[in-house]
Amino acid sequence: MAKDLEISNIEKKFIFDLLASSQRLDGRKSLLEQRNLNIVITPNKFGDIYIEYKRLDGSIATRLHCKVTSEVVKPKAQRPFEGTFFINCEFNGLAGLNFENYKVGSNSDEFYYGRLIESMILRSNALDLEQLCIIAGLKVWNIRVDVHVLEFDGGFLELASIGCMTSLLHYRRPDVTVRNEKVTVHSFDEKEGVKLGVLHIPIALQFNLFQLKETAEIIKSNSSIENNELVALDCTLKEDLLKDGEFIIALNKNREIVQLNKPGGLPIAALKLIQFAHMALPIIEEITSKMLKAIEIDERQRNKYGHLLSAENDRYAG
Amino acid sequence: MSVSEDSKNLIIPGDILACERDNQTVDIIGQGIYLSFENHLYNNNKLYPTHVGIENYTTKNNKVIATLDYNSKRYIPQQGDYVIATVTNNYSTHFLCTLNNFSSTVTLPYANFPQATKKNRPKYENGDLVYCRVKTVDTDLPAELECMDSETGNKDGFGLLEQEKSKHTAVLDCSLAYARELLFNDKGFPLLSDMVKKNLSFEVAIGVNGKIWISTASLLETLCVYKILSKCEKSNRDSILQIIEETVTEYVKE
Amino acid sequence: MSRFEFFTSEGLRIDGRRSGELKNFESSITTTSNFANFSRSTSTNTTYLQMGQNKVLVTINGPKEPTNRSKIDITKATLTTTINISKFSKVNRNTNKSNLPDKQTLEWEYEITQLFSKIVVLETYPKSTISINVTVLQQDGGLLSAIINCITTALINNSVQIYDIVTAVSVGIVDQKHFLLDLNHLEEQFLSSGTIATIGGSDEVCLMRIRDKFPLDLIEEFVQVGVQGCSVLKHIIINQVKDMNLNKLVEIQ
Repeated sequence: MAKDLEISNIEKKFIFDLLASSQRLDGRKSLLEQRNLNIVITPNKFGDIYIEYKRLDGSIATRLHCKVTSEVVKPKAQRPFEGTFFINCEFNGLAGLNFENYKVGSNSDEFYYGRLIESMILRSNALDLEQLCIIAGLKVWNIRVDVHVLEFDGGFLELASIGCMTSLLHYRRPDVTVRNEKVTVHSFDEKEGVKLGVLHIPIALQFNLFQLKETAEIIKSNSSIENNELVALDCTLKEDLLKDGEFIIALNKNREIVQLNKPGGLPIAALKLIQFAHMALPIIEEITSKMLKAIEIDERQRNKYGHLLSAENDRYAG
Repeated sequence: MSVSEDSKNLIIPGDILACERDNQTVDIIGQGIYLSFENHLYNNNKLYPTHVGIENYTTKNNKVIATLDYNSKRYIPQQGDYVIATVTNNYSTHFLCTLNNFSSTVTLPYANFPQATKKNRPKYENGDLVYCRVKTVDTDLPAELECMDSETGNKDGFGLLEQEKSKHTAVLDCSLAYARELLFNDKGFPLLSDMVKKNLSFEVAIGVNGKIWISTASLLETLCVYKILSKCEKSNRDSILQIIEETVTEYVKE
Repeated sequence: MSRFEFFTSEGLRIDGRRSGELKNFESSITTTSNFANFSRSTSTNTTYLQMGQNKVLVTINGPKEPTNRSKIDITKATLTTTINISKFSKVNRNTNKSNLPDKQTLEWEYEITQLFSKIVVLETYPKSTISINVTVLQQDGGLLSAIINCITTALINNSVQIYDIVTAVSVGIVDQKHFLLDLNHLEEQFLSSGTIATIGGSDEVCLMRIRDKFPLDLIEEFVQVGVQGCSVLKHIIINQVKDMNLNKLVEIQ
């Protein structure tokens, strides 16, 4: 990923030795342990989310900002009944000096990861685009998610997918009324916002592979029996630079694979691949419940006086 | 909030240094202080602070040395500094090394090794770490490193930081002020000797470019030393003993 | 659910194949007649591959000295891939006016580069580049697998050192129970499908790509069908490579 980061041989060996004895440089004691996920929802705003990985000592390792915005646009000619959706992932100097010379090219990991998240949400219909249609062929909503990396120490893919889905779940677009082909967009003071139609929540998980033997040896050996590689979750930037391959799986709670990618790199036995796919499910279930909880807490805070104003009466009270 | 004794002497760029104010002569200037050159317009040699820090005057061999202690992460080579360089490329006459990520490269000529001849040249691989000293710094050329004491021609402990098979080595990146503090300000290395008192046996090499090389017999010990050194960078002096205690019990005596 | 019956009760697919049957596979080398051409006299051979209706041409350029000095890696060669999908390759001509590759092609380029940088013995060619140029003349379903197979054949034909043969097939699923191997255009459009590539016909998966919704519990069978298809394909490729190289041996003697 990075261009000008130099990792010395000593450091390389140290990190590998640590991984081999299932220790991590940032204090984690297991290869499959993730850092603490923290979701911060900005109060008084919709779909404005900071999402971060915290190290064990409480310092922030990676921090992303996800913001959803919407506008009324003309739909694409091929799909007049559907709204449009766009994700913009931006790595710049803020995330680290190694991203300064970022260019869109086929060989940049950032481009690839950005694409993965975009197609994860688009191709699996996680966002109901038909609900975003106002007048067919003339006016639809365009939903745009901006992902900015504010601090970077690995784990972009997971955080970006969690951040995008949380902000989409949390966002409310302004309500519209259509009268005689005239569209009025109401501000939040006039009418309460409308939630987006999120049909399911896909979350990506990246398994990082580190090779233990020489490449020739690995290709010739039967790796379903022999142990050729180490598999780690949630790599830091240094580990990320040293990894030999990756395996990305995006799942939702309904036991559906939304996306599965093994873009080259170190070959891995088919059995292990299946094993990881099943291993990912409980992790993703946990993250999903964490996400929904954060949104629920925010909702309760926002609606602090809701019970006073509501006409509902407590029939069974007392 | 009361201003402590130290921060009263905090110098920011644009301030007048104490030596300038008192018309005191300074023989050697160190980091953070800039000497304006004599030219036609300003016919005077003046010292200006270029960083935010605390000014410091010491006398050594009847020579007054003025330095400005400041903290930064980016290392700019200065003559006579002991550094840990990473070899990135080798050419017919020299190695190309980096002292910092994203900074310009420096050279390490083969001639700057002890007993260097045309045939006897050191064999370092890319990514190896070398402990060496900055020989010359020029504005037009990349800085030059040396791997010997150029006056005597002795090896003087410079050279490759090796990866022995029985040992576990690691490299820690830290801020420049911390590296300097470990090397110079701590008389007799109290932090490191505190660690030795806890039965941690280790070797260290500290480069003022913010790199600390550690070598111990076992992996967990290396990790322990690594953790202590990186934790102490951000914490108070008083809590050092406690940090050492905690980390040692966490990693070594389980 | 879908308009077509992709897998009939007799066990036949739209184009008359069985579920685990591959498309016809054919490859050949040196399509250029002017072999002693000045510009391609050193190391370049063109490999043509036909996998069903997929028609792919691969030129491998190198190992050669890189034109850009900053790209030099002194320990190993660098691999670059460019894929050019011609505008007339589909049924409908691509109306995209710009000549830049679309995002999917860029993704494939990334994946193929990552894949072959572990397969080619890059350490033997330090300070050089190997560029893989792919031209797609006609596309049917499973284009990515056709490209990967063609690159493998091309690497062998250009005598670039590789550890082992990589084969790739696409797999689709009908009604959550029937698995189809090596999809055609229609099947790829309407079924959830994926591509899988293995090394040397073993069960070592080196590339896998599913972009559609897919039930997690069926992944075992998916991988199993894919791995089997890959091992069958490996024998086909090996036989064809042997045939091609027989001529070469005759030339030497």
